[in-house]
Amino acid sequence: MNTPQESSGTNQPRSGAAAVPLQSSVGPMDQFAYDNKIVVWFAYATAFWGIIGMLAGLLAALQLTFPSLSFNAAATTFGRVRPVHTNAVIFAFVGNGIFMGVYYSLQRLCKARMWSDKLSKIHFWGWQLIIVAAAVTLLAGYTTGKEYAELEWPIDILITVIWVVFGWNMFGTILKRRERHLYVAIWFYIGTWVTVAMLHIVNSMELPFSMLKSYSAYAGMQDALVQWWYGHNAVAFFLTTPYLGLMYYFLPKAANRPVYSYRLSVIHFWSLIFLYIWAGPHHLLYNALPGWAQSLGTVFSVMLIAPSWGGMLNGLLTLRGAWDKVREEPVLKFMVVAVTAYGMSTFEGPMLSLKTVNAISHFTDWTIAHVHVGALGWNGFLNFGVLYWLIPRIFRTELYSRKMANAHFWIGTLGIVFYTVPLYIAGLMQWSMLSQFTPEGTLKYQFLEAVQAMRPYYMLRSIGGLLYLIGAFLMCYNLFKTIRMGKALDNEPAQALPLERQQLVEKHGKEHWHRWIERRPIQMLLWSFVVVAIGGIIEFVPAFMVKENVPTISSVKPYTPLELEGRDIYVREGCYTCHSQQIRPFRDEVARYGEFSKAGESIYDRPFQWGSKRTGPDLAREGGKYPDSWHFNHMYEPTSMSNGSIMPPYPWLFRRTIDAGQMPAKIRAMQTLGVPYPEGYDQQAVKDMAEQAAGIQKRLAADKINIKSDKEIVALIAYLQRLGTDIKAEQAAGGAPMP
Amino acid sequence: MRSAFYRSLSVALLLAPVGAFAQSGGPAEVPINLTLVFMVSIAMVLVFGNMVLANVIRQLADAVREKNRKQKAGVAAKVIPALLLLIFTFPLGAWTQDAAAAAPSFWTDPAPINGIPRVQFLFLLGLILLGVGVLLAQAMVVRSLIREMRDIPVKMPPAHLLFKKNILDVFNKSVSVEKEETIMLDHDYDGIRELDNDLPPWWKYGFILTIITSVLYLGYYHVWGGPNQIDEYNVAVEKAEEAKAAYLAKSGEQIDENTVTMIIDKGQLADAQVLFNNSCAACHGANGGGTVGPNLTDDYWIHGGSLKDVFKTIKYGVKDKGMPAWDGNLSAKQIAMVSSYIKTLHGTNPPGGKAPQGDLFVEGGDGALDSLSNQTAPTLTPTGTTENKNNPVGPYDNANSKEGLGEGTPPGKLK
Repeated sequence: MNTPQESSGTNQPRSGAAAVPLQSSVGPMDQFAYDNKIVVWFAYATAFWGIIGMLAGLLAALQLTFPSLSFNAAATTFGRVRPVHTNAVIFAFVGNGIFMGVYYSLQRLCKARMWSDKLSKIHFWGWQLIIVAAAVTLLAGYTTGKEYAELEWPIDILITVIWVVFGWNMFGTILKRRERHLYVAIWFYIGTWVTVAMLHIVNSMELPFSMLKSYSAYAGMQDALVQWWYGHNAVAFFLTTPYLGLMYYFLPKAANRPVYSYRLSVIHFWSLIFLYIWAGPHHLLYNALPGWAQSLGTVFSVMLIAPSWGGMLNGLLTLRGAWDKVREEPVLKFMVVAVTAYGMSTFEGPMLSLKTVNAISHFTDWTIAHVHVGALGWNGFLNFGVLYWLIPRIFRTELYSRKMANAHFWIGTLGIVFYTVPLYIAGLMQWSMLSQFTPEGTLKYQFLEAVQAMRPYYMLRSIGGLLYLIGAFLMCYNLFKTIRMGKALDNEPAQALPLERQQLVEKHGKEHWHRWIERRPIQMLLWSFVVVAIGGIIEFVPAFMVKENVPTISSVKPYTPLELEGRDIYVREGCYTCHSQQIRPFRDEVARYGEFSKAGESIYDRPFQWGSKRTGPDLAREGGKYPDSWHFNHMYEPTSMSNGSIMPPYPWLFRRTIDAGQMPAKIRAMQTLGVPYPEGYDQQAVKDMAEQAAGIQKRLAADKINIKSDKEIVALIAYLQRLGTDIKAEQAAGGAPMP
Repeated sequence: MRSAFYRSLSVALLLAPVGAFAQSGGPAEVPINLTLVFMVSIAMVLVFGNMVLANVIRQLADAVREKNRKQKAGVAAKVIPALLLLIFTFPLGAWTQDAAAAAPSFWTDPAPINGIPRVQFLFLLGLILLGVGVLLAQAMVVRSLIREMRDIPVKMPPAHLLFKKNILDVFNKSVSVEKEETIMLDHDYDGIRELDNDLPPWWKYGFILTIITSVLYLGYYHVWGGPNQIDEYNVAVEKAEEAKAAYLAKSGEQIDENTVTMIIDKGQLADAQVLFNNSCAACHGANGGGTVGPNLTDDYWIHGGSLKDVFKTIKYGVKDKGMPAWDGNLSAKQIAMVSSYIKTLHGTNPPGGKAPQGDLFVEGGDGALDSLSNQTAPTLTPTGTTENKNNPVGPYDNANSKEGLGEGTPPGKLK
C-alpha cells in the first residue's frame, strides 16, 4: 500500500530480485546510496515554476477580457506574457517535473546512484538559468517568433549544452546500472532524450545578426513545416513520452500493482515514437502547405490513436484490483484523472486532424481548450500526483493533510472543467459566427462581433484557471508543512549485485524478442533515433528539394529595410499570438480577408508568421486595407478605431526610435540566407529606410498627424501596409492568377 | 422502430421503379437515394439475421436444457441458457417498442446527411451497429450452446465468461486479477512487476483499421484523384454564387447607385446605425464627425453628397484615399441603409467634428454641383468598378490597387 509506514519498507535497501538466489555464491553486494537531494531540488523547482507559469497564464487569460491589464507597458502585453506562460509551463513546470521524476526513478530502476553528482548540479542550475534567461528575454521582446521555440540563439545553445549534460548523466547512470534489463520507463526516457535533441537542434537553426537576435534558417512554408514538426513533437516528446515514462514508474508504485501488459508496452512504445514524428503538418491543414504533406499529417494522426491509447490502457488497467485504493489515495486520484485526460486529448487530437474538423477548430479557442486538457489534466495532475507521492517518502513522514490534497484534487478537476468547457463553446461560436453569410452573399458578422460574443467565455475560462491555481497553492502549502514535519533522507542507502557478477538467467523456452534490446542501451538509443528520424526526413526532403512545392510568384519581392524593421517589431511584440497571416481557401475567409494565401508569398518570411490563433483578424492582406493614419491611431489606442476591440495599446512604439545601426547587419544576414538583395545593399539600406519613412511621415502629416520619421510605429506601418500586396501587383500587371 | 423501418423500406421500394425510369430517360421527379436504400437493406438483413439466430438460440437452449436435465446438471446450467435467451431475444421486442418513441418531428430535420434527414441517418446507422453487435453476441452464444451439446470442453465457458468474469476483462481479453500469477513475468524493477496480458483485441484491430483507413485516404486524395483544397474551395464558391443568384432573382429588383432611394423607415435606420458603428465609425467617428476619415455631417463632400454619390462611394470605395470598397461586406440593401443613415446625420454638428473637406453640396441644388462632385472622384472609373464586381474575393482586393497604392508604394522598394 501507500502509506509512509509501509513505504518505508520499500525504501529499505533491497537487492535485485533476479540476483537474490545467486547472492551467496557470487560474493557481497555493492553498497551505494540514491541521491535524493537532486530530486528534491527539482521538486521545489517544479512547484515554484508551476505557480509562476500559471500566474502568467492567468494574467494572459484575464487580459483577453480586460485589455487594460496590459498596463500600457511593453513587457506586460499579451504578446509577451503569452510566450512566457507557454514557455514557463512547458519547459519550467513540466521540464522540472520530468527531471524530478527521471532522477528519482532512473536511479532505482538502474540500481545505481546518478553517474555524477556534479553533472546533476550543473543540469539543475543550468536549467534554472535557462528559465530565468527565457523569462527575462521574452519579456524584453527577444523572441524568434516561432511558437514554443521562442528563445533566441544564445539560450538555444545553452539549452543544447544542458540537454547534453542531462543525457550524459542519464547514460552514465544507465551504463553503470546493476539491473540487466531496461524497464519501459527508461525506453521512454531514452526516446525522449534523443528526439528532443534532434527537434531542438533542427528547429533552432538560425543566423544571428546581433548578440540576442537572429533570423530563421528556413523561410515561409518550409519554416512552417519545420516549426510544426518541432511544435507538434514538443508536445509528443516533452509533454507525452517522458510523462508516460513517469507514469510507468509512479503509477504501479503508488497502486502497488503489476503493470498490465508488457507486450502492450513494447508495441505502443515503438509505434508511438515512430508515428508521432510524422503528424506535425496537421497544424497546417488548409494552409499554404502542399496537399501531400497535409494528408500525411492527417493519416499519421489517425494512426496515432491506438498507440496513444496503449499508454492509457496500460495505466488504467494496471489499476485493476486497486480501485478501492483510488477511492482513498489522493495520489492515485490525480494519476487516474491524468491518464484519463491523456486518453481524451489523444483521441481529440486525431479528430482535430481530420480536415473537416480542423476547418472548424483551427485558429479558434477549440485548440486552446484541447491543449489544456492535456496540460492541466495530463501533465499538471501527473506532476501533482508524483509530488504528493515523492515528498513524504523522501522526507520520511506522512503527508501533512490528506484532506487538503483531496480538496486540491477536486478544485483542480473543477478548474479543468471550468477552463475547457467555455473555450470549446467560444471556439465553436467564433467559427460559427465568422463563417455565416446572409442570403445576399455577404458576411453576416463582423470580426469584432464574434470577439464581443466570446468575452464572457474568456472570463469563465479565467475563473477555471484561477481554481486550478488555488489548488496548486494548496499543494504548495501542504507540501511545505509536510517538509517541515519530516527530515530529508538525502542519501538513501541501497545495495545490489554488480551487473558483471549477476548471471543472466536465461528463461527456458521462449524469451520475448524485445528483451534483447532491453539489455543494450546504446542500441536502444540508436534504434530510437532511427525510428524518429524517418518521418521528418521523408517530409522535409521533398518540401525543400522539389521546387513545385513552392510555386514561384514573380511579383513577390524581398522586404524593404523599413518593412523588415517593422516586421522585426511585429515579431518582437508577439503579434502572431493573436493574429494569423494565413488565409485558408474558404469562402468566408476569402470574403473577409482577401484571396487565400499561397506558399510563394512567404518565401522571404524569416520566421514565417502564419500564426495558430485568431483572437484578432487575419493580417495576411492587411496592406492597403486602411490608411496609414488608421494604423497610427489603432496602434496608439485600438478602441478608437475598432470599437470593442480587446487589443492592447502600444504607446511605446511612438516613443522608441528605430535602431538604424543594426540594419546593415540584418541585410547581410538575410543575404547570407539567400534573400536576393543586390550586392552591397547593406550600405544603401539605411538611406532607403529613411526615405520610405519620410514618405509615410508625409502621408500622416496630410491627416494632421505629426510624428518623427524614425519612430518604430513608422516601420510597423510600413510593414503592415506591405502585407499581402505583392500578389495584387502581379494581378494588376496582368499576370495569371496562381493555381 | 420497425414501422419506421418498413416506412423507409416501402418508400425505397416505391421509389425503385422511379429510379429505373429516370435512368431510361423518364422524368426524374423523385430522385432515388442509393445510400438510404443501401442502409435500409443492410438493416433489414441484420434484423432478419437476428431473428433467425434468436430462434436458433431458443431451440438450441431447449435442447441443451433437455440434455442437462437428463444428466442432472446443476442449477446454473438451467438458469444460464434461460438468461441468455432473455437477453438475446430481447432486442426483437425492444425494436418494436422503440417505434412508438420515434416522434414524427424527428423526421423533419432540415440538414440532411447524404440526402437522408439527419436523425434518420444517425438512427439507421445506430440500428445497423446495434444489429451487428447483437449478431456477434448471438453467434457467440450459439457457438457455446453447440459446444455444450457436443460435450466439447471449452477453455473458457461462455456462461462463466459472461457472468462470472469481469466484463472489462472479457472486452480486453485479460487474465483476471485472481489468476494473474499465471501470466506474471519474471521482471522486477524496483519492485515493479509486469504481467503478460495479450493486446486488447479491440485495440489491436482498431489500430489495424486506422492503418487501412490511412492507406485508403492517401489513395483517394493522391492516387485516385480526390479533390484538393482548391477544388473544394471552387465548388463552395460556385454553390454559394448559385444560391445567391437564386435568392436575388426571387427577392426582386436589385438596388444600385442608379436606383437607390432614401430610406426613412425608423427600424431600418436603427439597423443602419448598428452597421455604421460596426463598419464606419472606426474612421468616421461614432457620430459621423470624422477622425481618420472626413466629417459626414457637414455640407462639404469630397466625392459627392447626394444619396447616390454616397452609395457609390461606399460601394466601390476610394482606394487612394483609404476608403475601402464595401461591396463584398455589405449587401446592396445594407449600403442603401447606411447611405440613408449618413444622410440623416447632416447638420447634427457633433462636438469635435473634423473641419470641412471637399466641395459644398446643397441638397436638391442644381445639377452643376452634382456633376462637379462626380468629377472630383476620378478613381471611380468604369474599369475599376467592373473589375471589382467580377472579383469574387474580398472587398479590399481591388484590381486597381497597384495604381491606387502608387503613392503608398515605398520609394525604397526593390525591383
